[in-house]
Amino acid sequence: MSIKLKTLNEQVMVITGATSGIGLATARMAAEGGAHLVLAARDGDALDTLAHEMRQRGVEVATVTADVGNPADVARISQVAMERFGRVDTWVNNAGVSVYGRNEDIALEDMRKVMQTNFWGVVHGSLEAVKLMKGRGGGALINLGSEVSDRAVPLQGTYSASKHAIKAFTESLRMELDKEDAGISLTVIKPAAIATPFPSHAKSYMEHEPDLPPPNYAPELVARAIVHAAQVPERDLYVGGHSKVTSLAGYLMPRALDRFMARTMFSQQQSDRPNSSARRDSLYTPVAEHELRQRNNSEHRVVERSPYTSFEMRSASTKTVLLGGALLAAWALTRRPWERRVWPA
Amino acid sequence: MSVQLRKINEQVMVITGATSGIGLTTARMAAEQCAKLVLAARSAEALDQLASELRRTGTQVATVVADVGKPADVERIGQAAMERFGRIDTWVNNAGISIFGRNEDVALEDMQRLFDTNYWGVVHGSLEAVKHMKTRGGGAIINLGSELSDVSIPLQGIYAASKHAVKAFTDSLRIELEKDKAPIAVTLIKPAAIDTMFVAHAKNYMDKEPALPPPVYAPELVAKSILYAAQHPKRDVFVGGAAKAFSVGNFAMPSMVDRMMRATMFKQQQTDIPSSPNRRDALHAPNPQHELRERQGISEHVVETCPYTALSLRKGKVVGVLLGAGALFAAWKLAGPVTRTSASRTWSSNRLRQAL
Repeated sequence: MSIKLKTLNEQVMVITGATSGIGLATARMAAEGGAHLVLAARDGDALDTLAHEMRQRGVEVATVTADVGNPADVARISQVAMERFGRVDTWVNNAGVSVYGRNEDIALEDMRKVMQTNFWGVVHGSLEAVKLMKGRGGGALINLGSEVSDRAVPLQGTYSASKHAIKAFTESLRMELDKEDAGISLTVIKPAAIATPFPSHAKSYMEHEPDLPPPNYAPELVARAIVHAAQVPERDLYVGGHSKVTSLAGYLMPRALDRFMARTMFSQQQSDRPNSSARRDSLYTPVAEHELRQRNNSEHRVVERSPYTSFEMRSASTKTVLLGGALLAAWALTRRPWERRVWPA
Repeated sequence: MSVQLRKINEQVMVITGATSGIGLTTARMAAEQCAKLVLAARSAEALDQLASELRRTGTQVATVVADVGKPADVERIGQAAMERFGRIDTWVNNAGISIFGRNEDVALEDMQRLFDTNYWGVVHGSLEAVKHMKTRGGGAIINLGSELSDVSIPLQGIYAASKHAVKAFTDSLRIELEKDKAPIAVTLIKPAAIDTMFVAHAKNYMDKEPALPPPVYAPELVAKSILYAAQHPKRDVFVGGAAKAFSVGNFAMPSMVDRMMRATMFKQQQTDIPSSPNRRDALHAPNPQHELRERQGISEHVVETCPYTALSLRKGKVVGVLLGAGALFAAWKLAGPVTRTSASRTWSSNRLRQAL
């Protein structure tokens, strides 16, 4: 690809859903890397607090209170970015939310709200970003898909559908922009389960508190993948080896995975704690006490490293060398012991 | 799967988008096989005409004027079926439409209208079908995905997104129903390009008339797959070997498929004919001129048979026959004169022992 992207410290970066989880981790990591930030979220107070935290450390930040499901709000994000910084180099469509429960039980308007935020939010943001980047030297558009972009799960049907749709839309847009040599890199990030406040933001129709099936990876791993894709064109990045494995299994043995999911996904997506009647989700409006937290406080062990994702982010030549080395080692180790010594002792 | 489905001639079958293309072909084929039909579409006139055609040959038909994007309309389909026939055995969510044009050029309201029909139509229909089938002996839900459920393409971005979403919803619903041991088979049909009124119905943002990239298959092939899935539980069916090849290619080497599509898909999805300013599509309302036609008939070559799909529908039987034949062959070989092969067999069993 002939797309040239700036290094992080020269970039203006837009991040939606910036006040929680992956968005928050990415905003902080990009700020440390010297990027100028345009942060968008629904909660104005949380945005102010975050911007204040960053300005104290000398980061240039603009904030926009916006619901990405509303196209006019997304248009305002780009207006603010242009007014304040004059350009956008990377646009991260991160905002997302889920509903847990059987497809049969969920109210249609709740399903529609998930689709509005997750899918239409990405459509609005992507088209806005393309408008700003085209003819202005290009840039990077990074859309948050998911492990469930490739393979749907029970109890989060609409979430899975929204993430499938994000992948299809992004891939279609990428082919159209590549055809025109628009100089815009489009990446789909597909995180496995990430230890963010995702389950407490989600609306629940289950009897127990929603949970993330293990393994749960650290949000910083996703932030690192996003910051990487902002500087190096990547088609897609799986964050967490589990995400890649699910994708492969879903394609190669769909029936076996159906049965496996029927056995595991119902219990693993629910905790032991009953759903509290005072439970407040952030499907329609943000909940103040859930804001400005990168991680959830579940007792699950959090996986802090993903060798697979690190490997994916290597250059093609490094990948070749590493793969070649692995093949050589595999060949050497599978030879019979008495023939294994290649060099005379 | 332990789901038991009736023969077509004992079934009550709901078909949405029944007045055109795949829906129309399926309705006629099911009528020939003596199913009772509940046909839904937006055009009342076309529905009436189709119903009287089918009634002449003795088919029992109920019709419902409905826009599948509206949940209340879809509920009326379920009601009409229950009032007229007392049950639903198969529900086919077929209604669908497309838009041709670059994602940047397409108006948001058009994108949303497409999603209302293709995705939400399937959600409304599936949930309505589950409601009626769950307590009444089960049945089959058949959702029309596409080869674009697995692979995305340029110039039909929102269509591909809607078909990806249909796959995800269908896969998720299937596991939930299996978990409940509900006797409902959930099938996703993934047709390749099919010679229907698809192109004429689609809204067009391009300078030229849209086209379907070859190979283009006959709608009867899809109808046959739908009727098969109505009687035999199937997880998913690719109609047209091209659909399967496309899916496998994209899974194994996505960047290559990207490049190939950049080279071919822009040309192949447009004809040489300029798009007429008077062009009428069926995105927001049906177009009477385009109704009641199974095929558009503009493609030069339509593939009328598909060995891949025929084979995949009978995979169990074919695999069984092949395995049986293989076992017989092996038995015959092993029972043959020992002297001639004993040396090599001893050698190989030694090798096996060593390896273990």
